[in-house]
Amino acid sequence: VESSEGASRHVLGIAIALFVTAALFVLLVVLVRADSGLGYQPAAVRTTTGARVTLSVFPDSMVCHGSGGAPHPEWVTYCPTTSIKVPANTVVTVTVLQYDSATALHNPFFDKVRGTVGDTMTVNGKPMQQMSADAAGHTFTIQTPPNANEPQLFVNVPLLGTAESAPNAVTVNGNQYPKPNVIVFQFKTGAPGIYVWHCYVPCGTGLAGDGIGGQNNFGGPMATTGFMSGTLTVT
Amino acid sequence: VTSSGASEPGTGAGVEVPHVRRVLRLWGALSVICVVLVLLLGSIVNPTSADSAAGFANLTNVLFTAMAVPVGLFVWVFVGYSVVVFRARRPASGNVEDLEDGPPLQAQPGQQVAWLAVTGALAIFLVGWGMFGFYKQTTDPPAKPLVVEVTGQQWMWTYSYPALGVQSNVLELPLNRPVQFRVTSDDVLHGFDVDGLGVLMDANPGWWATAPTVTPNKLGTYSTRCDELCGLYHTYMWSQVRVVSSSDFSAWVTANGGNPSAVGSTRGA
Repeated sequence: VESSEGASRHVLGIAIALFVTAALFVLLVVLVRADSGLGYQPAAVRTTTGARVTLSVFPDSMVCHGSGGAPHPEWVTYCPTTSIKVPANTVVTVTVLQYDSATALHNPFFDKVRGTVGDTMTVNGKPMQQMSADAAGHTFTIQTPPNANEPQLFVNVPLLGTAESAPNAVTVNGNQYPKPNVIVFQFKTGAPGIYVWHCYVPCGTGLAGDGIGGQNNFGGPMATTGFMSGTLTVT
Repeated sequence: VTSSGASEPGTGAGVEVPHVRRVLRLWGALSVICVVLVLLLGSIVNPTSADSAAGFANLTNVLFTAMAVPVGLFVWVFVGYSVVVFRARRPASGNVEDLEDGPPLQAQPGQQVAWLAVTGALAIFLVGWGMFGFYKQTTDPPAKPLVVEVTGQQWMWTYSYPALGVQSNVLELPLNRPVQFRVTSDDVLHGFDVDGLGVLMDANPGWWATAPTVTPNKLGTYSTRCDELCGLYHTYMWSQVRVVSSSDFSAWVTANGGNPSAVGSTRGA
């Protein structure tokens, strides 16, 4: 009787171990597949729909994320959303109101307009294909995630920064900012898929590499979905 | 287990069971099976090799795995056998406090020397193999390679071809043309890893590192990735690698505003 009981416990132990292992594996797969796990998602994130998208870039989060209870009101941010939905196989027109001043690019690759219709954009109504690395305030850069099922899409648009000494000239939700540069460009979407986009100008904090030559400001808002990083869902 | 004549637990003191011989036979059989599987499956599991460096890397993967399997199995078979055969069973009295420890294990100098000798020889061989591979890749490098400057940045690889005046986020390479990568980072530590070309090196902020020259010898589309955890979108830090014919490469250079006449020799493309 003792031996039979021991064997039963032995088998039960193995079965439980296998079950727990399988459950942990399933949990791991679910977590890895969950895009929502990427960073802090503020309540202000909304979805822009249609073939026209209008975004703003503010030097702080006062307009988009609010000052009362916002975790980082001083963080630079895209506004009103970093979650963009656009139709497939469509030319999308993007307008960006750039309220922030320039921060030099580290990598000159991003000072050129790439992947837009005609590889061009307009800045305050004038066409532009490239700017000095020092003149860029931010970039709007879309890239394809490493997923073979999704087509290649790459768009890079440097956003001309406002003059450092520009006076505050406009009021947005009670907050004062310089007159924004208005950047307009178009790009063509392909098949449905989920892409990521973010800024390649080091406009954040030193959190993600503080102390490396004093030149890394890719932390904080740069590394947080909802501020300078987001998703582009093509449906 | 220090003797081949230990008694089987519960079988009485007079019955001699050759435990060591059993385990060694089991280990030998499993090792043969697993090594054969490693050799057969190696070509399936390994990434496609598009140059000699990647071929050597794949061969190294298979060789190291085949050598590690018997060592790992030696430990696991002995442990597994001991767990099954020498597991303490509930005493007849039903009181676990009546359980007694087994006989103490005694150090056997011969076994220890053999273990150290075998594993030491394996380790020395692996070091020698790595040095041999590095020597093969670095001695007598091809003249006038196509230099590609690689910059890692959270979270994208960008490529500059100084001689051609081209910048790209896709790594385009001509067939049968020696290529030398110079790699750096604009922010944190990244790892530049090119599937198919056997290139794997750190991208360090503030300095340029040069990889041994490689020569892509198979047309196709491959990919790079970052091998150092570098932040939020680390998993998105990848790019396409396209190995194309010489004419297609020249056309690509032209389309990207570069100077195709500077492409130079293609050595048999």
